[in-house]
Amino acid sequence: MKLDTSKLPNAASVTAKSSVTPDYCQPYRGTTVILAYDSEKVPTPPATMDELVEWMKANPGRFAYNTPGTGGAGDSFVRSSVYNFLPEEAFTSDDEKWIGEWDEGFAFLKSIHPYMYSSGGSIVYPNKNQGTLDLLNQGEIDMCPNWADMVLSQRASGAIRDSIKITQIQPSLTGSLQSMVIPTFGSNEDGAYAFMNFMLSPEAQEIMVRDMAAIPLVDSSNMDMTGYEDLQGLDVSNFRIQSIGGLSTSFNERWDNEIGSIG
Amino acid sequence: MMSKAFKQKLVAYGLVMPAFLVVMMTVAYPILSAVIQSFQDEKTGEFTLDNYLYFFTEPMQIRNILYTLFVVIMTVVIAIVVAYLLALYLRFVKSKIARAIGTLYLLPRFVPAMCAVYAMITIIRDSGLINRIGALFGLDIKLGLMYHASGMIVMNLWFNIPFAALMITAGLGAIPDSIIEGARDVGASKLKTFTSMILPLSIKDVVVASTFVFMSNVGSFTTPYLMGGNSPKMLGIALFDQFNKYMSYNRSAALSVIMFLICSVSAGVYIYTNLKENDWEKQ
Repeated sequence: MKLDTSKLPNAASVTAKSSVTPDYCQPYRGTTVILAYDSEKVPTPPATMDELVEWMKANPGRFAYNTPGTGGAGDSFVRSSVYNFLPEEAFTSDDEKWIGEWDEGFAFLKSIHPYMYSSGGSIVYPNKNQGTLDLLNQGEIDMCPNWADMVLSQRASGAIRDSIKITQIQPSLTGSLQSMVIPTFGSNEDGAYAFMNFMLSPEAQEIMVRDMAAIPLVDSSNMDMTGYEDLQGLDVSNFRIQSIGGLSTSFNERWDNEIGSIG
Repeated sequence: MMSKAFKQKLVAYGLVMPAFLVVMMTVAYPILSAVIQSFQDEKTGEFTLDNYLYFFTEPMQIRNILYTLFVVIMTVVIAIVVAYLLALYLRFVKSKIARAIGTLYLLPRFVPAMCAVYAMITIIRDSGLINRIGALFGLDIKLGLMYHASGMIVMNLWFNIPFAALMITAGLGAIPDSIIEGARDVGASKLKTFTSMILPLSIKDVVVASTFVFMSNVGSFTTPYLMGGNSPKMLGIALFDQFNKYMSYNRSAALSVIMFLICSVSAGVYIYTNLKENDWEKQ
């Protein structure tokens, strides 16, 4: 149902707006794909896609992204790479006309292919976000795209090394806002508003930082961000959103046929 | 008034019915509908062979099929040879070590597949246990087994050697000592005893174990998903791609039928071996 913002006083401090049906969705946390890197091996991480490519070429075998279709980080990396060559509007469109425009992007992916992680004599794209994160943690690679929340919560729990840090490149990898909605068939509207309002309070936002390394949508300057300082650099207002809908299946199939099969 | 025989029949069918229905609904019906779907066009639903042609004309898919057969056949051959040697050792060597191995070799069967795969990865990966032990001696051992057919075969061996050894050991255990002693008494050498007595008497179990190992590996998923490379792929992963990534359900159905047919070759061998009586058993 359409939200009555007068019942959500805390929403006033949230500037982030959902990219779809903003009148119905109240964003409460964000997360984004970033570049995760080992700060011991890479003291100054690349800041742009071009710098990243230069770094890959100077350090062959030390970068990996996961197979698209098995985890959002790989999806984000390949789609960002391809759509960097397309007009901005294409990234949120499922119009089939854009399929014809992918060639330049796929040629780019092919050009960086030889510099990716390899094992057993051939280039390998591991399955799942965790696949690349494990390689990074084991020191087999120095950099990979991954989810900010995933990297930071695993680092906080000690599952991965403290020297693993995150950074964003320009043009940025894609992120998303998670939103709450109220269904029309609900029975306790006031309760729903009360809960949503609570989720936007500094207190609840801090819990989400601690428990799920969420990027807070309210002012975090008064929050205890110990262990999650990296989040402060990520600004939800310039999140790059992607939604190519049904095109993603053709996209993944083309990647499998043209990139994954090179070996 | 119902006759007694009729009532008995009713009870019998009543008892069989639940199991029959479960099998029909969860096995027979899905197989039937998958076979039908595999011959249907994705968009129009009309009869077509395209879904099958795709897997036999697309070079990548042909490579996937050959790759799967390679990995599975290598697994079968190595697992059976090692298991046979192990079974022979367990059958004919009487020592404390043999008894200990006899109890321990089944342990891998009790480790959940996922844990075993991750444990293996931790040991054999290029930065794994073996690499770290090597580093203590100043060596940089990179096995290159991860994301490679050889790594998957190593993992398959862990699962299948104990299983095959169990079946073959049971077969060897059924060979009476008297037969072997008899052969030795008439002057047969150890090798001769093996080739003309032990091997013929246990070959049936070897074939049966091979067919089981073959079938259980054709559709494997966990191991190739976590340890396999991007291309070529095992059919289990290729099927996952068709179904989950590209959402082509008709091609998925066709690939399932293809995998089913590959397995049924092995099932045929199994049934043939079981039906065929040994010459000396015919009386």
